[in-house]
Amino acid sequence: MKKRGVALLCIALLLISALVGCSKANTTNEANEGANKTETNKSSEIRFMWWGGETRHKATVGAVEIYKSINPNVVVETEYSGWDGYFDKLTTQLAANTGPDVVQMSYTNVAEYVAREQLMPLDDLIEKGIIDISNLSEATLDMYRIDGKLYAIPAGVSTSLLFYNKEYFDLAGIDYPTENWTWDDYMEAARKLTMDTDGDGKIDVWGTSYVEDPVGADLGFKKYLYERGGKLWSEDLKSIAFNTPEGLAAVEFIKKPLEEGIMPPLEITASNPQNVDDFQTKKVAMIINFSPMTQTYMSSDINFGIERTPKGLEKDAFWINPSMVYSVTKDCVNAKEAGKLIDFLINNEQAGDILALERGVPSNSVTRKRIAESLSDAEKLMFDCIEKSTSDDIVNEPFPAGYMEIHSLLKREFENMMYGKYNPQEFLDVVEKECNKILSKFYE
Amino acid sequence: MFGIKSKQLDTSKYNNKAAFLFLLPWIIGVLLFTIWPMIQSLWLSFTDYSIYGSAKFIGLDNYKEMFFDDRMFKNSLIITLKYVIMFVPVKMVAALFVAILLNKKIRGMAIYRTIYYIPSIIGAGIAMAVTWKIVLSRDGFVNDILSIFGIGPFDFLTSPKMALGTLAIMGAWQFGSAMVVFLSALKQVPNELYEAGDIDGAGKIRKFFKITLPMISSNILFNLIMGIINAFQVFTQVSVITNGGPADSTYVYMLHLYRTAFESHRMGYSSALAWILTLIIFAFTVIIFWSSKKWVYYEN
Repeated sequence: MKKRGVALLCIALLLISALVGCSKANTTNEANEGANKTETNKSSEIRFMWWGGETRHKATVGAVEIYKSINPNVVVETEYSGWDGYFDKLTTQLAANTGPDVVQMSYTNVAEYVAREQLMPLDDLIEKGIIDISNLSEATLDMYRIDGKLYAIPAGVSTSLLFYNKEYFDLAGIDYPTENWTWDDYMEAARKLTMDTDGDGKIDVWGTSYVEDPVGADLGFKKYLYERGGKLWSEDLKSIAFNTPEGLAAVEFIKKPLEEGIMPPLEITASNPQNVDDFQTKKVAMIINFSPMTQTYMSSDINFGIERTPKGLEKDAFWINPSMVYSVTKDCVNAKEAGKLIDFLINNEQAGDILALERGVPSNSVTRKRIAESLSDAEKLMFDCIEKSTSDDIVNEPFPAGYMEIHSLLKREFENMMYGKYNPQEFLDVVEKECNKILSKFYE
Repeated sequence: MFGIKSKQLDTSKYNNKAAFLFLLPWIIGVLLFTIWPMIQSLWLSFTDYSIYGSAKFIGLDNYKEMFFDDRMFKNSLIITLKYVIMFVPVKMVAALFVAILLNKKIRGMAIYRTIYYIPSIIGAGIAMAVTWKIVLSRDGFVNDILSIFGIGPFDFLTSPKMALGTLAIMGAWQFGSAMVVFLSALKQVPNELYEAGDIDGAGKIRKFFKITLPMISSNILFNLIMGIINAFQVFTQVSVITNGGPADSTYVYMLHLYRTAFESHRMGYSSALAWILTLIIFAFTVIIFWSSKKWVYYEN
């Protein structure tokens, strides 16, 4: 009896699975039919993919809705996620030839995807007047011209700024930073701001911070190098150009606060929760960081001010980077529709209002002026600082293919150097060898 | 007579077929999702495949690069060996110790057994790794407790000297499955042996080393091999908690493999890395099996 029961149960299970299988097959058939039906007007269907946080998703979906209401015959599918795994997903889709049409790229990895022939040049669309770039800065567009062709349209721009905690400045009794500050003033203030606030004999506030993420060539290092007249890459992008006395001076300058004890020990910074820096945990009085961090700091209870970064000792140098860019992938069937969407996101007034600062300060100078009116005080400060910065000498270098790998290498080796595994010169030697190895894969 | 015999034969044939049919889904699974990808990865390890485009055969270049031109290969291998050396003994001792405790006859033993097994069920996930990270941080729970005794604070995960050891101990926390194996082995040690030991005047420690350990040595072998295989492939916790840092002190082999594959998109090279790891694990297993003749006791 028992055996028969088991057998019956097995048969029942098999039948159920067979039924489930059938019903699945049916639905896929239906789906196929559905796909066939829409095949006829598939030309006006485009997929748009980006990464971001909750607010960016909301704003972007809102902008796409407006676009759809203006162009009712166009179907825009949106596909969005967080930063983690975004490029794994994109890479996989592109490898399977199922990539999205319009894609938000990082400002650093366009060249790599171009080298792998995954993006489409946009010059055609610009010539035909589908994408209007007249209000964008030529200097930033130039970063995405590869062999004379343009592959990306910047959505917003960013630079590095000095953020300072007013409370700690008041406590130490020193004046707030001004736009005339030099790095000497900055270091002097950092020494005074390193203090013991609760009187237990241990230092608990430090003057300055080591910015964990963009430690590589993206932020600090690059600026210090430019100020000393150095450059990141050779003209042909085949090798690095910073294993020089200028590069060494820049690296030593970054390490100096650690040696002087005016920034938190690395162990303390490393124990911050993910994506939280020392400025947010109120361990430091000043930090040099990306301008988009303004919004992050605004959402905390820190009473902070913003100033342009201090003036270089030898000369002034600023960089303005796009924060994010839009590209069209090789899988795009209807480039015209993709171009129209990009043009809308960059130039349309309504889109500009709803997207606001979600992708950094808008790259479109007209939009920038218009929305500046409606900003909060801190955001206005950031705007002013970017305007101040742009009026000075801007140095921009393109990001070579392989930069993502170089970035993660620089970050890792920088940490090794800061922890004392190498001295600055050894660091430069190691990095030169490894970086050139990576670059040689792309530039022969 | 003949009739019965042939009938017996028939049922055994029928049973074989039935068994095969029931196994078929798993056999297909293994062939399709384990053996076939393995063959493919072996082929890819001789190519420069990068996800995009097609693979180009480059002979032994990947292997040459690994041994002569990739310093992170050597570094990560040394770090992984250090991890194995710390992780395996800690886990084995913890598992055996708890198994001995749970072998006592106390009321509510089933509850204790369940409690000690729980970490193995929930331990491997991302959520648990994140929890560990918070608990062991500078302002975390562990440092709070230690501060009561005036010790610390320690940078368990953020100092290059401590991070790898912390991860090893953290991994050993999931000793549940090894413990179950030990527990069942302990239950099978015949009581007569202990009684004989008592009569001969052996103390507790002596009985443990002279009776218990030899009697469960085959299970020690099993747990040792499984532990080493797992330890060489450590990835999740490292990736989530330290991501190779601080200062590359926890940059284990699998992390190198992962980054090569999914950051640099060098699928060919990372396949070669995977095969070298397979060979290393295989070599360790062979050595342990060979040495086991000297220290494993089989009753028959």
